Amino acid sequence: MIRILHTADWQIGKPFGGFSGDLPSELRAERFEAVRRIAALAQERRCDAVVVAGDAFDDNTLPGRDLHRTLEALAGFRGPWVFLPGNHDAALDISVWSRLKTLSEQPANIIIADRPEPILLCDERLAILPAPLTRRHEGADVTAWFDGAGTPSGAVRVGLAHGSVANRLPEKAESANPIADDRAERARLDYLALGDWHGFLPIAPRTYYAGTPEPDRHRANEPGHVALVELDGPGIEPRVEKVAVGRYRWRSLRIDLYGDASPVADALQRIDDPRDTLLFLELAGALPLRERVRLQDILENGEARFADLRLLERELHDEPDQEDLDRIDLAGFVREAVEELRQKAADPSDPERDAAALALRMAYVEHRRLQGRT
Amino acid sequence: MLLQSIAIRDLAGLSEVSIDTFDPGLNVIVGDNEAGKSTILTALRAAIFHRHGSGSRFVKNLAPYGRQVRPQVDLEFALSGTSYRLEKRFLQKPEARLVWPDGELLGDAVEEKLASLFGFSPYSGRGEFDHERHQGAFGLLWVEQGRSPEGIDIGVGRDAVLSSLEAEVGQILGGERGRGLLLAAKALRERHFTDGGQLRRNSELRVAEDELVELDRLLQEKQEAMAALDARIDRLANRSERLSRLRAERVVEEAERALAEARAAEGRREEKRRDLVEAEQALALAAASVERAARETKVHEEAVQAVARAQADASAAAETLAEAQARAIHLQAAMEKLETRRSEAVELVVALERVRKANEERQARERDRDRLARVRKAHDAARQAATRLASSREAVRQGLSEERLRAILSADAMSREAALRLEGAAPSVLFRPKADQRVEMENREVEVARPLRIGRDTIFVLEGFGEVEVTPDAGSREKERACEDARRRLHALLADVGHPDVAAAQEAAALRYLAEADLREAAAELRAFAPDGLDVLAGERTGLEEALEAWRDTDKELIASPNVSEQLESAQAALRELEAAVQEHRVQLQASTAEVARAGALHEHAAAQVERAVSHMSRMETQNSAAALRERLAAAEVARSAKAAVVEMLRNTYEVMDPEAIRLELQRAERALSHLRKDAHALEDEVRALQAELRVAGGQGIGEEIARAQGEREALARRVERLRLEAHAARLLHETLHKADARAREKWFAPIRREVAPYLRLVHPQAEISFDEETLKVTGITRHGVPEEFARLSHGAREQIAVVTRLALAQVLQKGGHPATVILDDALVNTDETRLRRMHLVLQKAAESLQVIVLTCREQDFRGLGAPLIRL
Repeated sequence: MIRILHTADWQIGKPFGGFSGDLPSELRAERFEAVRRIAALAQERRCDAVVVAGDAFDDNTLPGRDLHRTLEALAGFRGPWVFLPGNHDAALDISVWSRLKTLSEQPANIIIADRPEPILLCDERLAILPAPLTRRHEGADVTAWFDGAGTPSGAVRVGLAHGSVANRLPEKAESANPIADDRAERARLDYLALGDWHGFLPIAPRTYYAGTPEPDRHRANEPGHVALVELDGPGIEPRVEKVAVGRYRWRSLRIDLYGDASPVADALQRIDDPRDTLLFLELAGALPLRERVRLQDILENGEARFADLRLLERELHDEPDQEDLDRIDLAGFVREAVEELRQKAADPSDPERDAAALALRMAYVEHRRLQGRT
Repeated sequence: MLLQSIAIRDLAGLSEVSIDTFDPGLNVIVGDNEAGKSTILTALRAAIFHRHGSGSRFVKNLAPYGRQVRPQVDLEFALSGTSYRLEKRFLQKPEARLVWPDGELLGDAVEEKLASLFGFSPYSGRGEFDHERHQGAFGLLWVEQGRSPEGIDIGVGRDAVLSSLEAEVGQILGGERGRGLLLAAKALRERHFTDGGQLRRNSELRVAEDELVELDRLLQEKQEAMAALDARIDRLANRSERLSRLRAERVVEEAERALAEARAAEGRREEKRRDLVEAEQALALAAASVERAARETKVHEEAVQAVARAQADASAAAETLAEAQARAIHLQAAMEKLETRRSEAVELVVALERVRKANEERQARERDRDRLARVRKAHDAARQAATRLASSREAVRQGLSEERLRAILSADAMSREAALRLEGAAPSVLFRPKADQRVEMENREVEVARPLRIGRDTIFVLEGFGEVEVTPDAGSREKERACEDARRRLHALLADVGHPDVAAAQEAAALRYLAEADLREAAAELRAFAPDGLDVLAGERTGLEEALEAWRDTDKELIASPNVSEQLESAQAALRELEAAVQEHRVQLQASTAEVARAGALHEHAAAQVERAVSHMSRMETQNSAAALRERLAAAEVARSAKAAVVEMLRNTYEVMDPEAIRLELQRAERALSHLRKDAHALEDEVRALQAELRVAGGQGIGEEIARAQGEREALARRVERLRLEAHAARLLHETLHKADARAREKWFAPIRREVAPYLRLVHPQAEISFDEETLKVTGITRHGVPEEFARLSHGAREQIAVVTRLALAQVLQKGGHPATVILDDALVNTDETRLRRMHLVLQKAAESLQVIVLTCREQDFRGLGAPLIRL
């Protein structure tokens, strides 16, 4: 029996520039930690090899110190690491791989699968057929050569590729680097280890995306795993185990609000480990001004507790009601102005609709402040 | 408010005035100038608005002129249905008292009560009293003399007006909170915008926008760098691929093979070319053989001719030689004769020369002898002179000089003079001893025969007697000493020159004189005989003597001939002629000898030529006879034709090969290979260089920087968007509030206009008053749709409008529950009669609901008003 650990899309060096404070460097550092965890897992489960199905590195211009840091993280597993160049780290003439090869301390157990030829491991019981990307975008299916590739008779055939399985992924997945969905069948593969899709995903018979081991975006597609694959022999269906290794959770949450901001407070309360959670909160619906102001407080409080809290509230509208107006004791020209703003804010065709809504909220807050003062 | 009565005592110009019949409507108080109309207004102000205890300028001015009494004001008025009585005393013992049916207040409490009743801020007495601030609405309603055309600045009265208006139009204004909200909105807006509506330079939005621009610039820079890096990597890939294709297609090897082929073809061509060259060389050799044979034949013929020619030359040369030799022999003979004659002439000249020389020698010796005799004589004389000179010089040296002699003679004269003086003065002693008794003085015997002058203390020893001491007088003693001194000096001088006495000295001086003369004579003699010195003379003498001693007359036999010189001269002339002839002959002879030599040489040469030609001729003849030579020439010509045929054939073969094409192909193959190799090397170099360059550049994390910058840009763009929305909202809020506020204000004026309209219609039909939104100031009127600025209206129109506006405002105030009595102090002085009558109607109409008090000095103006006239 051969046991391999299938992982992909480490995206080492990803900068997370859209976040502020210490978070980008923490997220960046965590990717090394994820590699460390993978190495430990492979060692613990006595894997015969670890295959990395592309995009181990976020960019070919990765700084040298990160390359070294990655090698340090790999040290926990002493068996062979097979790296496939993906679209982010394509095997160009000058790439992270060409630089890795020139490093004097390159560990002997690192195999760079940058040529389309079988790699025989475990005394020829394991044949890995890699489909490296030598450009960022390949129009043709670079796994086509698997079909005619000869391997020793007793060896299990494991394909290693990076790209989109044709017709199986959602439309918005990249269309470049296509992989035929029947490749495993046609090339008599016992397992096809894929990378590029960041979620763990069995996509075709004996064909898996391992996904990224450490989540890096808000998409609910089960990132944060690796696949432990056990292959009993050629032609025998493999056993695939999904093992969680990620730390940060990138959660997306959509809440519809109808006059009351409490659901947001409740939802935030229900999330465990907010410190390790990057929350993308999409709010929709309508709130009276007082609730909108309360929502602001809830979110401010949440921002302090979560690793990151990102808000999309384009579909959340202010709906000042009588109680709001009663609360702010409207009289005279103020009432008139507020009414004008309300009309603007309620009119979807008004170009100043958003500004008017915010202006109303400001008026409310300021008025309440004045009231508090007097 | 209704003013009911007023009583004034001792206030400013008024001693006592009291009016107790104020009508609730219109009242006219008439008084001439200085009668105190305005003082009534002042008294009213003092009573209501000024603290009784105040020391302000206003209050001080209340003091009556020239009297120390306290000003008093008593007032009765009704307010909101209650009647009040107010009593105030100022300056001395100030007092205040307010009494109404339900109560009474005294002192400061009165002031507080008044402030609350009339709605003003009490005047503390500090700073200037401000009618508008400290009188509340009455600042508006009580118009002092001459102020009415200034227009209406509502000031603090505004609050009262506004609150009155609000009572009527409801809470249009939003009250104080509305104002607060407007301010807050303004502050929110100002966080982003300047007053001019520009985005503030340091606003959060502006800073974020600038950051965004900067980030975009940075991002673009990085992306360009990344694109450049990608381009370099692409170039490397392209070059690597070309290089590997070059290698895979074995292009260089192919070119090398083509070159080898071209070189082989070139080798073959070269071989053919060599064959051709060889054949051409053989042809050339054959041609040379032909030529040689032809030449040999020709040479043979020429040799025959040469022999004949040489023989002719040789006989001609022999003839020439013979002629030259004959000429030379003749010349030689003539020369010899000439030589003999010349030798004879030379001998004669030599002989004559010897004679002449001996003669000259002898003459010279004769001259030397004469000279020696003269020199000997002079030398002897000079020697004698020198001897004399030496002895004279000794005599002079030993002789006495004239100066010394003069000194001696002078000393002698002085000695003698001193002796004479002593002789005359000193006592004399004459001893006459008995017998031969002796007298001794200083151990010397004294000559006793003659008297003895005594010049000093002298002790005489008298034999047989003892000693006698003679002491001369002082003068004698002095003279004695002088005499002694003179004598001693003389003796010293004489001793010095070594003479015993003066006479000897004189003789010595005479001798010296003579010796000096001798000396001069001897010196002159010596100079005459031996001007160059004695030694020179002696040298000359010895030289001459020796020369004469040495001379021997060797040619004694040569008799001196008197005309030897002439003979010598003619002999010499003859000799010169002979030598010239010899010389000429010698030249001729040399020329002749040379000619002979040349002719000989020519002859010899000609003979040798003959010999050589003959020998050459015979040698040739033995080697090749003429016939044999002709045969050989024919054979050589046949061989040459054969070789020419071979050359022609080979050349044809060579041309057929197209050697130019072979050469060009070789050149092409060489160049192609060189270019390909260069290309391959260049590619290799470039690949290596790019790899080295990119190995460094590739690891600098630029991709990550771009990704980070893009992320940051997204976050910043979101922030900018949010801030823009905030700014927009803040501006919108402020603008909306501001506009609503302005609209509301517009509404406030409606009641004022409504109140003003009926009055205005009476004086200025079809006119409408406009107010400033903020200050409620009257800004002007609009007549027939044309706006007119207040300040540009006539004085009359201005005072009329001010009065009607005040009346309207008073009505607004009154409806708002504020006290409102209008007092007009000569407020219509600029109004013409027609308008004044209309103004009367205005006042009448106002008096229907208001108490109006008119203070005027023009009774006739208000006589027909139908109101009670109160005269002061």
